[in-house]
Amino acid sequence: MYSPSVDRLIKELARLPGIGPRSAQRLAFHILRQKPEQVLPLAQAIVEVKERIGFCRRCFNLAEGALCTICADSRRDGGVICVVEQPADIVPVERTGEFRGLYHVLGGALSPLDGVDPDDLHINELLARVDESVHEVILATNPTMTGEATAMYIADQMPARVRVTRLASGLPVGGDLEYADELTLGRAFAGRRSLRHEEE
Amino acid sequence: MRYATTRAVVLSSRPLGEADRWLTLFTRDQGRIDAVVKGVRRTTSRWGGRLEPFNVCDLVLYRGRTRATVTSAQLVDVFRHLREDREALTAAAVGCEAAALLFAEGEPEERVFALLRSGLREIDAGFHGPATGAPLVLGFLVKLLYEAGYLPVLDRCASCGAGGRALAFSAARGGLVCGDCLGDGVPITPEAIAALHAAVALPLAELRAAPPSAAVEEALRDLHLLFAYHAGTRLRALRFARL
Repeated sequence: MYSPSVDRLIKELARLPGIGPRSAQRLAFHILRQKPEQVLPLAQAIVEVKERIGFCRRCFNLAEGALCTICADSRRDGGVICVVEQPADIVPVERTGEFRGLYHVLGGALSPLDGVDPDDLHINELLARVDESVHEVILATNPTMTGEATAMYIADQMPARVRVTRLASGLPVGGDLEYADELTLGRAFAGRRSLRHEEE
Repeated sequence: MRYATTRAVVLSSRPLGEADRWLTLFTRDQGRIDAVVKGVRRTTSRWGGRLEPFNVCDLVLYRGRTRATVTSAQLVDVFRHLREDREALTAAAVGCEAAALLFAEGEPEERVFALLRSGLREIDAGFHGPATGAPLVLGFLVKLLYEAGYLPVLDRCASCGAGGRALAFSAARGGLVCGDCLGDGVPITPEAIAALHAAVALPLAELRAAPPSAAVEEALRDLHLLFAYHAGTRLRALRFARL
């Protein structure tokens, strides 16, 4: 219907997650309406990111070199490793400002329904990283069926001397108990903590 | 009616867009259907963990022009043990993946819904050994195949109809075959044939209590061939289990 180059642009945009044919068409026409100096930086950024960004050889986070900025930072606590499913999961943990250790990105979660088994993830690399200097592994996989299965599997594989912890599940701050679902509320009860004990 | 209320087993769940999920459900009234659930991946989502795979929920579905959307969900059954045990997770995944592939969308199959629910309940109650050698998993799969109309022929040669001793299992011919009809059949032991007979005849609750064995694993491998022949694909859950 359009010229081949516009058709190609629409087709390529439609391959992006969450972008359907209509949205792709709308974005393509937006790009066409823009001045070259407004849209060429986008094209250059895509080329640059694909040329320069790879995976950290230690933790499999996104990296612009052999190591990511977190692994290369000598001020981080190498004795604690936080295990996440995807590089994007590191961002919210970093935003909390509560964690100063290192990360390990698995690249997904175990899923029998999708045929994802331990060999498809960076689990062996994690086990190889857990040497004498590591005293705690925090399992921060998603609180989904696949995330839970992954956490259980890794916990079973860890050496006994290493403390293995899982992020707590419970009520979101600012939420209302009335609207909590049964599973989350059940977890919140199971993981309740004593206030008095903390005061002592 | 654009809104429909139904009870459903969540067979699988995939991320969709920024925060949504695409669910494959097996409903009591409408059989297998796909539906979207909006915003479920946000931590502040009102859905919480209700719509996780293997849960049984009462749902309100809105039927749009191209797809159904979940507008309400109440948890009916949650099988907690399935999340904590890799073998139980694999067993549940075998049943749910098989149901998603064997039954066409929108065909009411109340018996299959009941079978799925009871199968998940038995798996959650615990079984012996690895999933690939568990009579319960073999029974779950053979009963799903029966409901889909693909029960393997076990009492005579599936090719010529002769009685006597079966020597092989042929997916293309639909069951056991005799020495004269071997063709593409794979050799099968008398123990594996006995495991298949038990899987057909015994209820899931009895199969759950039975011990695992190499014969069950052999029978499951053969049954998987039959499944793949009819469904046109192999089960990813059994690849996960390295069968």
